[in-house]
Amino acid sequence: MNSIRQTRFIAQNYPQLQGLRAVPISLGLLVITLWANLQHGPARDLTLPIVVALVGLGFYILVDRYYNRVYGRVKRNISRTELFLQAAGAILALIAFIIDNRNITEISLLGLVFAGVFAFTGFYYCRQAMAAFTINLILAMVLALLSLASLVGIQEWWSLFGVKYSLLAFSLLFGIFGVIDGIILHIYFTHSLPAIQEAA
Amino acid sequence: MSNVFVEIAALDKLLHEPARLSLMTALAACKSADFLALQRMTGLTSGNLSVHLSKLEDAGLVVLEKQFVDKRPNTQVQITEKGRQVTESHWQQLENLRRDAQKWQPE
Repeated sequence: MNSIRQTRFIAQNYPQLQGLRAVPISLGLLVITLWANLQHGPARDLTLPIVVALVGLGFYILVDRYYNRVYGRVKRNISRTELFLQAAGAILALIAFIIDNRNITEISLLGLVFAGVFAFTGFYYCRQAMAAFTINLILAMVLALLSLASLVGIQEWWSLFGVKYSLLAFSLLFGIFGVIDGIILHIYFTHSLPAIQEAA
Repeated sequence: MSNVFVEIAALDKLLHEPARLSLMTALAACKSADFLALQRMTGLTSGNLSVHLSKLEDAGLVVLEKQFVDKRPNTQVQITEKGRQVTESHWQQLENLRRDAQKWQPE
């Protein structure tokens, strides 16, 4: 049996620790961003991104079913603070996207919001899962540093990797980091559950 | 008898059993959980989990709701207000005991 502290932590964050849910969505974002990077001018045929989005959604539903059938369902107590932070994050992401799209600032605001998402995940859901907590903070720091790189004279680092715009670069990184984070959370989740055995 | 031993003897036997305390702690940390999730979180076998849940239900500490999800039987378990209070108070008692035991000197 797990320690009571760990049991409480797992019960509090059960669905959030089921990291594979993020993988199809992150992979979908990754493929759509790569497709967007290959476009010259406004895209005329949107078949591929629509198909990728639908396939991603399909896989998300499959992963959700897998977790429910193998690990069961837990309904969380969602605090007002958590709801507020999630809503604020979504609004900030939209504002950052608009500002970055117009090249108003030198730094990438969307990159900073993405960094905030990983920092939030680390502090809010993974406080007691040291490996997942550390990885989330490292990913957040990498995104934050790259977002602010232009302030120390590093301009358009994304062009070194063949990416056309900063928006695409940060979307790609968010997709890649989302996959990494999802897999690590899943490994933590499955390893932190005790083996089923007879109680004393 | 020293106060520490009186306090230990006064602990709620229903809740003090490790498996049930683990179950109640998990249930107090979420809105509700189904049978499979509780089994995964505590490591109990289906038989043991059923017995413990029945005892907790009889004491009015949890509510069990049987339903069908995706055409499969599913038992949702939710802690009651009484269960939440009893669990919190039990943990408080254990914390007090720990503190008192550290101060305890054999006479």
